Amino acid sequence: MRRLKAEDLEEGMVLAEDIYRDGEILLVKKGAALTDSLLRHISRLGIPMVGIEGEDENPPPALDPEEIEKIKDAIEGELSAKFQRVSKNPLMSQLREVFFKYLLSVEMK
Amino acid sequence: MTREEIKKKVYDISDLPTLPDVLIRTNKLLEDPDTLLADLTKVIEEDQSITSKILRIVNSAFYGFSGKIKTISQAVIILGFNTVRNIMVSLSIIGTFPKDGDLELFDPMKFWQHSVGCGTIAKFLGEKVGIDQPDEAFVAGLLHDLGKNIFAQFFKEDFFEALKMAYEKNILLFEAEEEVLGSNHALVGQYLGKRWRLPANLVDTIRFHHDPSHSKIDQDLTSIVHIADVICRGMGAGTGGDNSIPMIEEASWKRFDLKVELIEQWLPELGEKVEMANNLFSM
Ligand SMILES: [Fe+2]
Ligand SMILES: [Fe+2]
Repeated sequence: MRRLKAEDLEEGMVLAEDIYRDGEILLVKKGAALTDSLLRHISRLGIPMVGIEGEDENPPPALDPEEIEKIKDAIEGELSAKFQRVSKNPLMSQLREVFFKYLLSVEMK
Repeated sequence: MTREEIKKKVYDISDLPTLPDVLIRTNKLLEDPDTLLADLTKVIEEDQSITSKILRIVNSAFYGFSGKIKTISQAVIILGFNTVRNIMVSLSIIGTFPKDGDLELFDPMKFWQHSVGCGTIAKFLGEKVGIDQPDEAFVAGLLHDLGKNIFAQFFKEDFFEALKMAYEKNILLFEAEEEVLGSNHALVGQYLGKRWRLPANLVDTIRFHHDPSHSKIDQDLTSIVHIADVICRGMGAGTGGDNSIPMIEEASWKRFDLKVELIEQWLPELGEKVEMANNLFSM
């Protein structure tokens, strides 16, 4: 699967994941081919990214471990400044872990 | 300066940002029990620019009635007066936020993103935990740091000192404001909210978003915004002029029975929603 921005979608592409409205109501099931009206629907709904069947034509180069470490360090640095004064609070440190995972996943996309 | 001096100054500022006429007229109509739907829609529809913006928003995924609502009266019938009014307030607030500023450390774009982010997260959390009016939480989130705009526009030098102090000592802007100005953005936002005659629970949220357990009017709304502010900072959506994260009050967290695992599960969707809202409510 590859994930494309809504504006890069084309007619005939095959959905690799279901599309939900507001994360709840199923609009289109995966396997459907994109039609003109579906495309307009997707842009109206403001859905940012859509999963499409097929391999990425130019997949992003896999990050080398060193690169990943750098990204982790940067996020860690940012979060430790932000959480410096609340680091002793158990809830806040748990949240910090959760933000770390989230920010890393965003960076790796 | 003392709190009282700042309060007086805020009440005396003659060129405070104002809310648009159409909103003031709508609010008046909504206060009158005899108002008819037709009166209300007429007032709104006279303002074409806000009408088209409202329709764009109600038909977006943000409200989930895609492409079905064609007129303001349909919007009011389907979504209710309150939701339409909340959308109008949100759109009106955009206009009162400064678009540029020369204050280093306080970027109006990033501050707007912090506000939109906080509103979006508050609405989302409100829906998940089932508070009364989740779309009111959106407005409350947009407004929560309103006082910073007043500081940035009318107390520039002192505010700059506070910003610098917040970054240098890595403390909350809220605390730095107290040290430098002897007041804080929650109080100043409350003064402006009152001058604007915002609903009491919104003013309450602005006032107590840093200490929601002191809220007397709407603890649900205040607590939701308090938590949303923390999540917004953690996600790095915009910035509010400091680089520190406030502690979530235990009572707020327990109030809704929230779990860290739930937040973890929601974050990817929240990220998408925040992006969507930023496109929808861009300056
Ligand atoms: Fe604040
Ligand atoms: Fe904030």
